[in-house]
Order: sequence, then structure tokens, then C-alpha cells
Amino acid sequence: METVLEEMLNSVLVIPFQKDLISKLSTLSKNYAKSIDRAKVENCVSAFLLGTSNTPLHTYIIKQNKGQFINLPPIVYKILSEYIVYMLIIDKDDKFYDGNKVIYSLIVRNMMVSCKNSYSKLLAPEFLTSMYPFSDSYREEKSVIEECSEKQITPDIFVHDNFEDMNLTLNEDLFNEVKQLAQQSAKLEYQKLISDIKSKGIEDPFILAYHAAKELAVTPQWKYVDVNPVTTIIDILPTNRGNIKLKNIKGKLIDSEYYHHHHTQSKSSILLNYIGNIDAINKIGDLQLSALEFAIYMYYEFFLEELIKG
Amino acid sequence: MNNEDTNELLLETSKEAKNSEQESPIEQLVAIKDTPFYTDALNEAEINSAITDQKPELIVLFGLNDLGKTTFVGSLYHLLRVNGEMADYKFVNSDTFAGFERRVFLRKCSKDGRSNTNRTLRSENQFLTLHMEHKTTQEKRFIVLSDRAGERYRDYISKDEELLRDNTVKHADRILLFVNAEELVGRSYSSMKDELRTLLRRLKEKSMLPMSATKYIIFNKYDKVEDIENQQFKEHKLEIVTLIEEMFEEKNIPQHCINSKNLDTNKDLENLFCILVKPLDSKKADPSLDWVKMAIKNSKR
Repeated sequence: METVLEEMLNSVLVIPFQKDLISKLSTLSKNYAKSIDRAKVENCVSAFLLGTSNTPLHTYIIKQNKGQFINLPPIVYKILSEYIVYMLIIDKDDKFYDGNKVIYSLIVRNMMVSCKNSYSKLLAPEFLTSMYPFSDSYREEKSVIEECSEKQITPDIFVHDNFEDMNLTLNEDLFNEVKQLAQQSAKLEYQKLISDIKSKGIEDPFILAYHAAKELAVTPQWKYVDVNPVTTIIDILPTNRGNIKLKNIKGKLIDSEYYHHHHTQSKSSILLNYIGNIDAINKIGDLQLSALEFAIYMYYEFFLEELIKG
Repeated sequence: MNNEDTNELLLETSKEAKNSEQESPIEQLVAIKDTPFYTDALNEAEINSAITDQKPELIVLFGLNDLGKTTFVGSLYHLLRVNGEMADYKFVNSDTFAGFERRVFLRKCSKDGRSNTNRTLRSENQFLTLHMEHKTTQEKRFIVLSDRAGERYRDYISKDEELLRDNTVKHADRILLFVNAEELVGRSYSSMKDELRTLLRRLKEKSMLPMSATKYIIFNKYDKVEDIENQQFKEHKLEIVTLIEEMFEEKNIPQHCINSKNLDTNKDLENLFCILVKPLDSKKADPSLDWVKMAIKNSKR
């Protein structure tokens, strides 16, 4: 991992740091990562993607250095922030809880919307895309994200390969059939949800995009249908009618009966926060999006908010 | 920097230095300077502190002494100060105004017509910075220039410890390889070529040549060449280009024939400055960074 930090730092410095300094910074970053929480991860992602200052990290490094001032250029704190998030998502160290990798990965993805027109300005961008895939691995691995007490057998059956693992004494010959039934049942519910969305007859593609994204991410009682949400959204939305500015999308939404203020928990829900006037990055209003892009960004913001809610 | 370097303030031999000091009180003042001014040029330990929130571009002026590297930097700074802009970029700030001013000041101290610029002090810090901003897009640009004393490069030819201490050349984003055009037809041509070959070869052997940097061959003092159609001049020029291209394993390295001293309607010099002020063709951003577009593309397959 230290070589990753070295590469990241070398991409922004004029003269590379000495190995021992890199090693020290790597250790400090690793220790910071071990006791990190979601809010601090959001500070880190915001630092390296949006250029905000990462005060908690700055304070931590000074504190760990026994109060001595370390004269690191501001850009180094941004790189350290990126390195910390990279470690949290990529490193297989047991200290980093697997279940959080999905959330951290989604935080990175969701905040990337602010960089949409400036990818060339990103710091150490070659390390960013490797932080993406964990978002989808959630569905692939069908991890449990919520309790379904009355239907415990249903979520369990998606993640196991036999009844014994589920602590059930049932005929194992029937396991695959029961699992298929459960899958079909979940799929039917999902299809019914899609039909419901379509049947509303929402004409404005951006309002439809918002409604569809919210329903698909929030409504299903469990998220075990192995369907790509992007494919579903493409199926629901009309073909692309061009891009419009986010501030105009916001105008349409707040006048719409389908919009309900969402109490966001994550700073990375950039679009939801902008639409709901929370901690808004005003310049994001000029960002132009197609209805499809808007729906996908919204879906993953709602999805992350659901994950955080647990 | 060791004590020997710190104490050795002038590049000339001590005898020459003494003569030089006797001749010019200004140079005497410069020579005794051992405390840097506020916003003076920066050294390797300091330069990273000048970085704010964007990656700088490092432009290394490379070559032995008396090739006009400092005059070149002084001219660039002078034009930026006078015009306030270059190649659609406004000159907004520098961390090293004093470093530049010293170079411009020395540039003005012409007395013998041989060199308008006192040689860069061996102990002088090498890094100068330019903060630029695009006139319309407001895109910020941070340029770091390395103007190191040519004598230090000369040390690399014979002293391993000096060579290995260099932590700048190999990190160049662009490298300007200075050649004295006047010497291409002079009696010193052979030794100049040998020195250049040895210098480049030694750097290459230690993997210290910036192979991936953008290179420019700068034939400076071109105005002093009496006959550019002279066959020997042409042959020697080609030999130097071939030597550099072989060392860098790269063909068609751009060549610029300039006179970095004259600023009156000096189009060749101004064109080169404009090339340097404009950012390198930035690598196209990886399309997969736009994960939404990629997801749409993959779902439509």
C-alpha cells in the first residue's frame, strides 16, 4: 500500500518526498483509517474530489506528531485523504469492515457528480475507478442489508446454498426449487413496482426519472432481485431528449406532486442536498444532465441513504 | 547543500571572481549575498510548499554554464511583467518574485557585451514559480521553472556524488536542452559536444534522464552565428540534434533557434514562451471515471 501512496504523491509533487516520510505518512493514514467513521470518510472524499479542507485529518496528523507542526502542502492532505479512502475500500486488512466498503464506494461514486465536467483536474485519477466496483458487488454478493423478521426465510435463502446453513431441517432436495420460487417472487414484486411507476403516466422525463429512482431504491422490502438498476431505469425512461441544467430540474421537481423532501444523512448525496437546499454546492446548479443520467445519480443517492439508514 | 557549496558563491574561478568583484560593486553585492530575500528562489526542500491545490508543471532549463538559461528566464519574467499575460494566460502571482527580479536585475548589468547575465550563483536556489490563469476559462496553471547554475551540471560530468544528489532533472515534465549556437562553428565545438554527451550519458546511466518529459532543443545565441548556411554549422547542428535524440531515444525533438537576450519583436523567443506557458496536451481523462456514462453504455450492450 505504501507504494500506492508514493505514486499518488509523486503525481502532485515537484520533488518526491523521501521514503521515510512516505512511510510515516502511510502509517498515520492507516491508523486514521482504522478509527474512521462515515462522516470522516465523507470529509476525505470531499477533500480529494471537491478540494475542501480536511480539518479532522489535519488535526489528527498534528496531534499524532506530538503537537509539532508538519509543514505539508495542502495538496498532500488531499492525497492522504484519497489514500485513506482507497485503503478503506481496497485493502483486505481485517480492521476495515467489509460491510462499509459498499457505503464508502458509493460515497466516492456519488460525489463524483461534482467533478463531471472536470475529470482532467482530479488528483491521482488512476486510483479512482478501482474504488467504484464495490458498489455493484453488493448486489452480486446479495449481502443482507435489512432485517425482515416475518419473512426471515426469504432474505436468508438468497445468500445460502442449502437449508442446513440456514439452520433449517428441511429436505435439501427441495432447496433449489424453494430458492427459485423466492427469486421469482422477488422478481414479480420488482416487476409490479416497475409497472406501477410506468402506470403513473408522468410525462416530464426528469420528474419520471426522480420518481423511478426513488421508488426503485427505497420501496422494495429487500434488494435481492439480481437486476441491473440501470437497465431497469433505461426501460422505464423515454429515449433521451437532451440535457438540462440541474437548477432547471430542481425547479420542475419542487413544483411536482412527486417530490417529497428527503432528509439526507450523507454529504455525498449531492443532488438530493442541492434539491433540498441542504449544504448545497451552488455551482452544481449549472451541471447539465440527461434524464437518464439524473435518474442513475438519484438512484444511487437514494440507495446509499437506504444503506445508511440500515 | 554542503558547506563548500554554500561558501562558493560565484561560479567563476576564484581568480576570475575576484576580478569580477573588483569591476562591479553590483556583482560584489550579489556575490556576498548569503541570506535569501523574501520570495527568493526556492530549493528542493521548499518547492513542494509552494503547491496549493493543483499539480505544478516542472520545466527544467538544462545545460552547462554560459548558455543563457538565466537570461531566458529573465526575459520570460520581464515579458510577463510588462504585458501581464501570455498565450491567453494572465500572470497572476509568483512565490519567487525576488528570485526573478534578481535575474532581471543581473540581466540589465551588462558591461562587456559577452554576457548580460551574471552567471547563476552556485548556491542560488533553482526553483522559480509562475501562477497563471486562463483569461476566459479561469483555469489555473502553476509553472515551476528550474534554473540551476550551469556549473552544477558541469560537476555532474566528473562527480558522482553531485550527480546522484540531483533530484530535479528526472522529474521534469518538460526539459529545455540549451546549446550555444555560436559554439557550433567555434574551436570549442568538439569539447562542447563531448561534455554534452558525457553529461547526458552519465544521467542516462543512472536512470536520471526524464525520458517521458517533453523535450526541446534550444539553440540559443543564434544571433551571434555569422552564417547559418555554413556547411560546418549545419553539420554540427545536426550532430548535436542526433546526439540528444539518441540519448533520449526519441526522434524529431522540436528545435528552437533563439536569442533570449533581445526582446524587441523577437517572435521566435515569444513563440517558445507561448508554447511553454500553454499546458501540455493534457492526457484525456479516463472515460471510465464517468461511471454513469459507463453504466449506461454497458447496459445498452
